[in-house]
Amino acid sequence: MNQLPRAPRRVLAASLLALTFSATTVSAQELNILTWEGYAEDAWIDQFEEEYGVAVNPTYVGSNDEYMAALAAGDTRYDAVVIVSSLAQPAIKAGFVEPLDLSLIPNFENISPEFRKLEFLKDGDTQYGAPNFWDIQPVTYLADEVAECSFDVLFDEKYRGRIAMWDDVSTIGDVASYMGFENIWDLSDDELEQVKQKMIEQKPLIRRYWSTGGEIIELMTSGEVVATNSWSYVTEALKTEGVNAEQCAPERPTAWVDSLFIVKGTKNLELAHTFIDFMLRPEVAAKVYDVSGFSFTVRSAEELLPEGTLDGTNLSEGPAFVENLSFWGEIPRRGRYLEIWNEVKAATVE
Amino acid sequence: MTEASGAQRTRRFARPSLTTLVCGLAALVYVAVFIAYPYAHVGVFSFWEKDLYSIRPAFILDNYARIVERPLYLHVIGNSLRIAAFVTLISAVLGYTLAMFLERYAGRWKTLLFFLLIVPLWTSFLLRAYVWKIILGRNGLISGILGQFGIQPDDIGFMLYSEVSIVIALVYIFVPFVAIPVFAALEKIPPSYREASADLGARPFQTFLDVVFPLTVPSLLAGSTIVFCLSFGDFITPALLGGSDNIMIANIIIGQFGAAFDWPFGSALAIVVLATVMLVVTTAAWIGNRVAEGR
Repeated sequence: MNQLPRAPRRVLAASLLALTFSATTVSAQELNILTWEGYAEDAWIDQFEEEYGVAVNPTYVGSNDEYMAALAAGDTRYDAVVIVSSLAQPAIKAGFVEPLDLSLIPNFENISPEFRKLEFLKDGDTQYGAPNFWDIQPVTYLADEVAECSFDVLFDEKYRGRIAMWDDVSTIGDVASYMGFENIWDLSDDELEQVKQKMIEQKPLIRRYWSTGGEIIELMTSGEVVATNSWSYVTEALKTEGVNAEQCAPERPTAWVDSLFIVKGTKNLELAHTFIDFMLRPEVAAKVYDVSGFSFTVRSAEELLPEGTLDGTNLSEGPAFVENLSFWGEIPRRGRYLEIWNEVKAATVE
Repeated sequence: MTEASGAQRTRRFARPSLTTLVCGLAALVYVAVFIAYPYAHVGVFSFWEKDLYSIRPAFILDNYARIVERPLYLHVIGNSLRIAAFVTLISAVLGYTLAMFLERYAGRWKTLLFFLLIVPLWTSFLLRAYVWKIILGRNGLISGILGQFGIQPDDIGFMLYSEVSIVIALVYIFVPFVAIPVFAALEKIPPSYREASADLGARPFQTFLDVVFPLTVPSLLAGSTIVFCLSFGDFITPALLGGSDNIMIANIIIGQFGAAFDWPFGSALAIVVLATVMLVVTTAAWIGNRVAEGR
């Protein structure tokens, strides 16, 4: 230390001072959320930050397994997390999340009854998750390149080298459902093998297994890929960028519902509840819909959208449609599903 | 040996200087904290078992059995070895040629060119891999140039999201790792060696083969070893630039620690990879040394 020339010492002292200073000015009022692209856009996050005088730091995940891994590793940076239907029970059972104090979430009443009664968001009578968005897993395609849309497009030789699939275990469910299997989340070894063969057959058509929304949006904007199993958010984002993209529902769609949970042991318990309450406001649900195209559970948001917006969408279907959907369920043999997925990726076909 | 030097030696052993002590201790701490401890952890984990989202201490060999039983893992390790070998070979040839050029023929441009070789190392690895997405992409530089000659993007589709793009990007990233040490070795060879060889009637190529090359073999080996290890264990480049069947072992390992939450199995894979790399590198070094001595 003594040998440092004078000038650098001064710089060092100054930067140490700056560090301490910045550390103390950042207040405790920060909310860290683990979420998806499309759920934490400035359009409503800025409003929350202003109204409550806090800073929201969203961290985006690329797959459902990612936040579970973060929670399992005991990552305590996060206050709230979005968890998909299939992982809700494992997260509750593993003790990764706090029970919700519904008295702090008056807007919970805004959620339609068919979602409020979902058993996998509860443990007995205790509510753990606040369901706010759901969707079927659509096929997104470039309308200029693909004439007729269905899940068949993804297996059509015409689009050799221009097809993509989401790099996620749920894609195994999509393909299994397309093949006519019923128990898509609990397939036997033999059935999994059949799904694997189907996906290996598809490989010559595949340009890429994508992992983040940004990646597939880029692949479709540049014309590298013409069709993929996808999220409504991707279709919406492509349209916003001026790409002539459309989406359709597969013949036997799989569906998911995302819910907000509070991470076990958060120091911002009350603020996390406030955030969930905010996300369940009809006007926020309408904004999220506008950006992401995901269907909301807060039915009254419908009145805030221009008439006719929801024609032909999931939301025009009514509660019976939802009751008949089987949302992504828990995958008891998750490791095996992932192994099959890796085997598909590692297979070489010419 | 004279008595004086013998005495000096004994004294040096009896009372190591403070510098020796400090350096030795530092090395010991470094090895313990950054090498022994983490690897021991990975080794221990590889015998544990996983239960949904938690891991339990145990002593089971199931994780290793799974690696052998399912063809996936050895297949992917083989793939990764092949890609790493390719990258190492190309980087070694290109890096060596580049170093030769810099040292012998670059003249007054030497400093500038050497600087340009180093500059990319200052940017992030991620960026250096990502940039090839832009260069090789459908609307990228190369497809643009070829488009001028009427070649359609579909004809060159093999370039991005394929093994080719992984190898190109890794070679680009790793060439300096060979070029820099070889350049340093070449610069250290006194001109008198070459002159002596020429005086004795050797042609330039023979001089290179018998005098220059053997003196650079250790640097070439060191550089190539680093390239091999780094490219074998890379997961960013295949994740960014790989196609649907270019999965490398590091991608599977990282998946075990992330998506699958199977740390024990990931650790077992890591141990197998570590052993494979050590075996390959030791063998290569042994062969390399034999070649160098044989000259």
